[in-house]
Amino acid sequence: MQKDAPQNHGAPGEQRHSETTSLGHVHEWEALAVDLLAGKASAEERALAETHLESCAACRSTLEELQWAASLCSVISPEDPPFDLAPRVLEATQAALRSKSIPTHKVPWWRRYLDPVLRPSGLALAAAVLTVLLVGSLTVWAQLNARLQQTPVRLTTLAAQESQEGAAAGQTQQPSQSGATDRAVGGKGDITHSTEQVPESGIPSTTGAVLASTTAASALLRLGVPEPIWTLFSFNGSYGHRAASAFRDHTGLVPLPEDQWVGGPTFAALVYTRQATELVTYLVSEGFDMNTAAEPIDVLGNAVNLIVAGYESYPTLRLEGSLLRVEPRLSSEISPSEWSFIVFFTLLDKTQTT
Amino acid sequence: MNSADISDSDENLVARARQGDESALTALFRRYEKRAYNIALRMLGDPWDAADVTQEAFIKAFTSLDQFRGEAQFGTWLYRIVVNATHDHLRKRHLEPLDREELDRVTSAADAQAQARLVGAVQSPTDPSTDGLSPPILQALSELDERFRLAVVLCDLLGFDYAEAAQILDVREGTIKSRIFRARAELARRLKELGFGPSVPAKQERKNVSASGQDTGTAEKNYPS
Repeated sequence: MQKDAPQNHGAPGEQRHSETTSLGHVHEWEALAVDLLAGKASAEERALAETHLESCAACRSTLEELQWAASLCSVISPEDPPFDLAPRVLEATQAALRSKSIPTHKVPWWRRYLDPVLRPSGLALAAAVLTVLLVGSLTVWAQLNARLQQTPVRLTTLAAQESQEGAAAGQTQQPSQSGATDRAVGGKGDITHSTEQVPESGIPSTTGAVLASTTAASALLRLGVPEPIWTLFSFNGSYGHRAASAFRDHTGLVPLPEDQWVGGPTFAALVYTRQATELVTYLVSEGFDMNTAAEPIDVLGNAVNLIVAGYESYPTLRLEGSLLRVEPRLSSEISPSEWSFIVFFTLLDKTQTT
Repeated sequence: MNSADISDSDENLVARARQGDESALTALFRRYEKRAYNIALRMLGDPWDAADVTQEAFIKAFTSLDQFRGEAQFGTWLYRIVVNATHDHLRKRHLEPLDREELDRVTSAADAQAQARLVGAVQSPTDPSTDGLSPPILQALSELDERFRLAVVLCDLLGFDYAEAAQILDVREGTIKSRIFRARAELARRLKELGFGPSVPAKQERKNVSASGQDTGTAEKNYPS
């Protein structure tokens, strides 16, 4: 009659008694014991168990205690969630869904990375990071990041979230270039300018000697992942406007609006992932020292989401033969498997230190 | 949320929620919030942490509805997210023991009675039907191995059937039952240590069980046949 026993009693290693007509001690049939107490054992199983229990006081006692423990557990009543849990969840969810626009596939792929920041805590975090970075330094940045990692995430109210959303929605400026701009890749003297298509940034033009660095290229090898890559750059040891001006001259990119800077003039572009190393190597050969911000990538990732929110197209930076080419692309034309998003930023307050 | 939502199927509500239908989201939330919250509460012990984890889990679920394929019930899928969020929180707590020490200090949780408040007994300090056993039960529960505690919380406290609990935890039903067996045995052992016991003592036999209670899985040697 054992053959008729349901198979779902068995825990791994549990005795099945498939060829016996009696049960061992209760610890050999734990699952069946639980079924027995719940009144869910079959008639055959119950008869088998009772046969054993009649002759084993220890197992009877064990089952009594299990029943006792179960009855105690059953009187612990569920408690009501906090009254404000519903509005907290629903408001945060609605905000996230609105921004994510999940019903369509027309959302720019990089908007996927808005998810963290569109949670209220993320927005507050990003705003805090931006605020601190604007007046801070890398030291502050590292300290802040260390602190943030220890801070439990508690979502704030919709009001705070919406105020941040409003700020993001206000970013209607199109960061793309108005037209394609070509740059020759090679010696510095070969670089040509077509400034009539580049909006004025107010950054004074500057030149400098070449200072090569080999650290950046390897650091950017992980570009295959479509995450924003943060790159802190300097030019011949200079940061701030001097470095930014050189960067603009070399790449044809224009800085993002000042309120979106991260510690200093900030540029953002999509690059061909397979060209990223080559492109960065080129910039390094032109005198730029580029370091990927490795540790605080999550924090910076939140900040970049603020920067890119609301844009429908973005400048792409790519090498075409010997030309460094900047052109705007609609986000719908951009495949995340091919492009990586890089934010190049320099620091104003390091201008005087090097 | 309107009255029609309350009786609408999960399937319909999820389909509407995917389109951003606020009313459907509200209905889904209301349908599952209490059990979800209580899973977190009984696993974490702390109502604040439980609320945070529940909130995190719901937001994750609601913003990932496109990943819900309907292979499991929506509730099962949601509860699994809650359980995972709970695991994450416990792991984080384990990594940051100072927080717990600080919490204990703030709440002066030196004795079992006070400690029991940490496991969610704030609103039910004394239940006449258990002669004030709730705090020690919750205390004993909080000391169980996480896997065993989860099985008991789901099935014995919140009334999930074994099959659904097995689905939520992605284990075999027999495994759930085995964990419940061991969890209950351990609960009984701890409560007896605190001076409680079944109303009808089993006298001589009790002694044997007590001696073997530490490891119920290898207890056979304690039972003379």
